[in-house]
Amino acid sequence: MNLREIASIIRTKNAGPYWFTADIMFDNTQLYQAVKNSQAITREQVAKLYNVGVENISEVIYHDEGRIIKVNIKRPHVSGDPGDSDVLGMQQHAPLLDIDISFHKLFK
Amino acid sequence: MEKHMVISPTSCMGLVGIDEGAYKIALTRDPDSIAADAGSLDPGPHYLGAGLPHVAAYKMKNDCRIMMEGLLTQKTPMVMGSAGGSGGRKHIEWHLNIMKEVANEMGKTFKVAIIDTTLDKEYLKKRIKRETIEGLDHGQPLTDDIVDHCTEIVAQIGVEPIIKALNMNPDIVLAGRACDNACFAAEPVRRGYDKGLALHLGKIIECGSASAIALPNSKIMRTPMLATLIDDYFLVEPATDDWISTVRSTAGHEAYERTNPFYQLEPGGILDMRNAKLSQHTERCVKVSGSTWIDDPQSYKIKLEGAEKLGYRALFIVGARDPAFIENVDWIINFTKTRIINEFEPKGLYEGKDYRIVFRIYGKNGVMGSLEPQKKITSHELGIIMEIIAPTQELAHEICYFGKYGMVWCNYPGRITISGNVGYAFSPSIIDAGEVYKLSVHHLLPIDRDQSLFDIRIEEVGSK
Repeated sequence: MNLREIASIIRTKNAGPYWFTADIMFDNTQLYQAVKNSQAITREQVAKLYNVGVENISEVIYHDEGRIIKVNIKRPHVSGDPGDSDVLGMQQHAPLLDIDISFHKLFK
Repeated sequence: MEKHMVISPTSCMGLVGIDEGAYKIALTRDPDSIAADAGSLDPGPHYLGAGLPHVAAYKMKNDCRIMMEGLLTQKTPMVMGSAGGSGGRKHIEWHLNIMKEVANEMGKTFKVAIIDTTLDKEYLKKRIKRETIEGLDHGQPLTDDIVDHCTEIVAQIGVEPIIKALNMNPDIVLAGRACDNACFAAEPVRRGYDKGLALHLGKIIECGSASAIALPNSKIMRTPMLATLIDDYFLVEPATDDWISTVRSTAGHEAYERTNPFYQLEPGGILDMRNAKLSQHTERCVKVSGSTWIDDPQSYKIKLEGAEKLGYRALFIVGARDPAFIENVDWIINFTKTRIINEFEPKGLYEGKDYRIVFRIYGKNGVMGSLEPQKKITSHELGIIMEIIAPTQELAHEICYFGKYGMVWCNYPGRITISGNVGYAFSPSIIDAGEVYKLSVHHLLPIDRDQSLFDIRIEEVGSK
């Protein structure tokens, strides 16, 4: 099962001009907890998805109250610099959509 | 303490537009203060550098009119922050001129307290001699050179200068570059409410109804937000019944545009939300408590922003539909780039130093660039932008013209279409796109806690 089938919102946006921040949000507390407990989203895995070293990825942050999993990606270009392709950082989420969340892991 | 209600009419003045009907409903709730921000660094460095707004003037005028007319029926302290988008001097002037126009058309006068947040370059250079001005989110300290190259350098102020302006009893405070949440928090903090709670309140409603949810029957794109401070908590709700606030929508906005949802670096300290509690107060209203303010014991640091001009941009925007072109797109781009470099090097112009070439290939990795994990092109067509940045518009244009013919008529492998390799989107094919700026100041400056760095002047706008 892919993350896009489980999460209700997957988005990115600038968090200042040097970082993209990704928010993965869930409608259902059990699903959120299950994905959190599965540890399916890791710094290393996000680094691999975006072709960068782990030093360019933040720790994964869990916001239980909001049912949000957050991870930050260092921008390859400062916002608006020559070569930047997403000034506001609103379209960097796609690689996260296909993170495989094993159903067995979720509900074991 | 008595309750204090703050209204946020919109996410950003001049952008989507205040819904006038919904705003009138909000005003019937008898608010104690109203605030809106008009800007952001998010649209990129161009607007700050060029001294231009990032919204349409007529939309800004309409939002100013709605807010200023509202003051006639519901007189409350009003704060507009990040004037004109970037909060520089030209931005303040643009914003203030629009307010003048509105006031004149209304036949009313308004007393406006204007906070100048632009810093004197000589002052900054004196500071650079004495101390290291550290970079924020990057390791480069501020230098004289950078200061000289920026059009203007603004400081993003917190609540304190806004409180000073509010103490002058204006009808409206118009602040230069300001923290979004400070615009909303200033009046409650001035009246003695907790700074942590007030800033957290500001953070949640600064983007208007972005922290709420429209019900399926809603016909409006946005609605104003209401937030009410009561003792040690505050309540958040949308102004109209067709919208609701939920714990999830509220918490979701706490996380928005920030690397950490639990801490926020602010002028002079940190907003600590680790112990913040959110609960569903009614079906459409969320209760928030537990956020606290931590003063920076060492110094009051403020963020500086400045953009420097790199030159001028020319663009060639085309599309390709031929499968052999798509298969060989890297070859074609490489050929075109090399041909430009070889043409201009003998003239003493070096790529990367005297001018720059940037290619964007939509359908390949135009959106994500080096971060794109999908390597194989699966699209039947590609959109290509060739971008040249050079010290003058004329040179950018000339280089772009030269580059164009490389791309259009190169003999790539397998080429059987000889009329031309791409479809031009426009005539003229080369588009002069004007000035290019780069963000080069994003630094932290320790300042005096008395905020004397920022001049505040009173201006009466309009006529009776």
